[in-house]
Amino acid sequence: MSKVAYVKRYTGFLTMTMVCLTILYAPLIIVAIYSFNSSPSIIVWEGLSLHWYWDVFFGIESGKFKTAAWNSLSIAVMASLTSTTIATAAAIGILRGRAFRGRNLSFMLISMPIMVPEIVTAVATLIFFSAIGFVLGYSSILVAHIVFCIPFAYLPIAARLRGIEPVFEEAALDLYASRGQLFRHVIFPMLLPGILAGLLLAFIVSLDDFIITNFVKGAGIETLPTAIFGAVKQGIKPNIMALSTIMLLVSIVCVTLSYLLSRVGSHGGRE
Amino acid sequence: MMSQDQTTVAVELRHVVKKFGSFTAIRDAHLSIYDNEFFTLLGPSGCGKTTLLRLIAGFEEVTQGQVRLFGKDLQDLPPNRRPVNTVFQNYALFPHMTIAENVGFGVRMKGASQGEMQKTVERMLELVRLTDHAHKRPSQLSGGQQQRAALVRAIAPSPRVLLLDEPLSALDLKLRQAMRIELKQLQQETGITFIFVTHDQEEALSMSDRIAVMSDGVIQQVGPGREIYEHPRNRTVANFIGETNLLGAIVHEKSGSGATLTLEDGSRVMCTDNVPVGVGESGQVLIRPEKIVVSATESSSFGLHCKLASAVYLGTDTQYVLRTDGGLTLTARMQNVDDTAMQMSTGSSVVAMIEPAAIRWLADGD
Amino acid sequence: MATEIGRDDGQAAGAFDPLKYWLILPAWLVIGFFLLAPICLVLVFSFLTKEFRGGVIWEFSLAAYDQFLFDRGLFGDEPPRIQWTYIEVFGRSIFQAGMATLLCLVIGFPTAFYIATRPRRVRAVWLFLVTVPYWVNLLIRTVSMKFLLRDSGPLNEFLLFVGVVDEPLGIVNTGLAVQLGLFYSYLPFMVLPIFATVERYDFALSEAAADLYADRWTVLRKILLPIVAPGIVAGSILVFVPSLGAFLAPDMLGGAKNFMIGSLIDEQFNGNAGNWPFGSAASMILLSLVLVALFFYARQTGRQGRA
Repeated sequence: MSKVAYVKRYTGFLTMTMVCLTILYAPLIIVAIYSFNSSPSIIVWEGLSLHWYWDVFFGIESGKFKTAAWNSLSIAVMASLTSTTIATAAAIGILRGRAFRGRNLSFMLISMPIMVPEIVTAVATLIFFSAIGFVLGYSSILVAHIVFCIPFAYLPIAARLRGIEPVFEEAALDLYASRGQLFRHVIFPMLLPGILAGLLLAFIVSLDDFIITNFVKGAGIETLPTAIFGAVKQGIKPNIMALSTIMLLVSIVCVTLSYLLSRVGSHGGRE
Repeated sequence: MMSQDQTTVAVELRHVVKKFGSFTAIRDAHLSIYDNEFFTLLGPSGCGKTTLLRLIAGFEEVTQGQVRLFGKDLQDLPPNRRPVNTVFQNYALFPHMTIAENVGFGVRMKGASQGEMQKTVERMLELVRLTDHAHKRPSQLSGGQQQRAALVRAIAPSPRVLLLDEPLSALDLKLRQAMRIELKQLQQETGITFIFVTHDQEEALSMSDRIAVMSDGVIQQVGPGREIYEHPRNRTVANFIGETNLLGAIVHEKSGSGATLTLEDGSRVMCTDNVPVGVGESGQVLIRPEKIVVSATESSSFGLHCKLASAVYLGTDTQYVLRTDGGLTLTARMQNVDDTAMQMSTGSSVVAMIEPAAIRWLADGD
Repeated sequence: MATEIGRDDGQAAGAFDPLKYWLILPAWLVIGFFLLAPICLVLVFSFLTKEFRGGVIWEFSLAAYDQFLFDRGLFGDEPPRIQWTYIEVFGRSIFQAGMATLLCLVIGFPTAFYIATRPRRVRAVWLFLVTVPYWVNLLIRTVSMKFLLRDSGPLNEFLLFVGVVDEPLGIVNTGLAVQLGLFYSYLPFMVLPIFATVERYDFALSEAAADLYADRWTVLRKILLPIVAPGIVAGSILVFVPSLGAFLAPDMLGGAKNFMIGSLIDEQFNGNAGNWPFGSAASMILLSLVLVALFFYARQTGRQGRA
């Protein structure tokens, strides 16, 4: 395929694609570059330095960032593990059970956290917690994160499960596997790339969330995004750009991993 | 033909009905399959043959009737507790396991020890010459190798009955022909009852002890291949197996050795088949194209005078389409033993000769 | 075909069928209890009386919706006049979300088309490149956008240096900045569905049209566009819906004059307004707008499924 067919070639489409990628990447690249600026001002360039990275880890605000990072990471780990477990079970129940009346409804309910605007979810969760007298803090953030991570974990798992033909299940049963053995030896290993992809997506989504966290966190606790938002209110500072660059890299690594996982062994499915 | 003891029934279907919603996939299937038999379910796609197989395997539940295995009702027995294994159409080899792991899966699930399992796997792989591929993944094997791996995976746990769901359909012609011989040998060596599903009549005829022809969810006829080809019970069977000339006929005269029939165009033919109806009644006869001898010169009293409408050269033989003087169309097929084919040109007068024994009276009109 | 019907009827042997309700139950419980029930509670709260500095008094009141629509003066005793302030906020939100959708379409369609016509192997890489930024923290992306667009930021510096402009463009705190921010937030939602439909499109149809003397752009307009239209509609709704309720982009890039529904709601809970019933009412109105859009989306995909 050296040459694209006549009807697939349109002048300007490549340019548009480049414009698109430029808009997507330019801001990120520029922030990454400026994070290496040695100047305390964000306007003037004074030469390369790792000063602001040092500042993130050891500067005056480092304690605040470290606590926030710990909160973010621990919540993301717990929320993604819990939501992935719930999503895996739900995917098997929905896709591997016979059709039943609540099937579509179940799928709608699971995708609800994606469909409902984040700000409405945030309002709803805050009101609900305050109505039942749930104290806002670490655990309220965790619960909220588990809820909105479920659809993000569900989608890659369900996609993978749909690709596993029912005939493999039949073959295992035919060869005397019990339901438990069927899950352990056939379904789980074949589903694993999907589960890991879902886990990673849920992890990033939790790590990234700002709006809902900001509503339900209560006073005195920060995650990385809320800490950054608070700091940026007073203007963008170079240490924030260094912190952002670190988070950016973490996100990109996670997505790349998730992407590679979702392609692993996808040739195993048959036509 | 059957070489083994015919008295032990391996699988028995008793008035089995299977419905999917309002669609009836199997209508009243009643059938006995004997132990050690190579039994084939033959029919066009959608005729219900695969559904029948899945009922025996336990993947579907019968709507009515019984499926019995060596005299025991299988009702409520899930597939993982039936001593029956399946070779799936696209093999369904587990992609995340090696060939050895695949072949050992059933034995392992049955609770065999590690040593036992290894021994079985080795024996099985040797049986189909896959020993060198034991540690490869299914995707690294050719179609034929995957096929053989799927076969021994299903045989390894020593099932009483092996179900094969069009296992050769994904292979190319040459390989398919070689596998037929291999399958037949394997069945004879292992003594396992094979129930084989296919839509390919050549496959069915070349391997089976007995064949059941199915269409529209009904088992039309059961019998050895020869019987089904030579004496199809009805038009459906006759049409599905091989090419046929189906002609309307009226009984003109009956004698001890057979009957004289009047064909639709008024011509008379002799028939030595059993004609169960009286003089003056009508029915249908079947004439296989290869039983019609076409010649340019008149040399037999049984001949029908025809014009040659077309002759198509097909390599080993030639197919002729003939129009009798009375306006009937016949298809004939003759081997190209010599240059006869070339001597007859389209439009020329020819004689079609039909031996009285080659004309079959169809018992069932429809 | 019998076996196909067998599969449609239920998934094969269905070893997990007896467990299905137990497997789905946790998802039902978690989302039902912590999202569905709370949203119903928002509806209830929107009909309650406000307590100053947050919270509610459990007394039925239509004040929230009344405040949204009418102005009754400072002490609430004047004859009601239509209150345009909040209607304007909603109107502006719809307008900004619409413009962002248009921007995504203008840039996203050629991109999706270009990617879908690449050789299969390269395609995945292109697609990956377009989707990666979506997974970068939205807050960081928005901050980066603001940093780039600032009057003293790299973009203006560059333009001044090259001499294209004489003074900074002043993009930040305009509607355009908000649209760029929204575009940046949700572009993959436009590209992916369009990509999916163009990838499935049979280019032999284009070739047939070209063979019958249609030029490239006529082929695009008359043959391809009508066929991939469902993808365009789907993409537009997927961008429009989250844009409508967006908070970060308008809050950080739009300034006081361009604030949208998201900020209005946020103000009631995290800001100084502290009017929970009013925030709840605004949330419910936003949610109903979204449901209307999603209804069209469902109808569209339903139609696509049947085709």
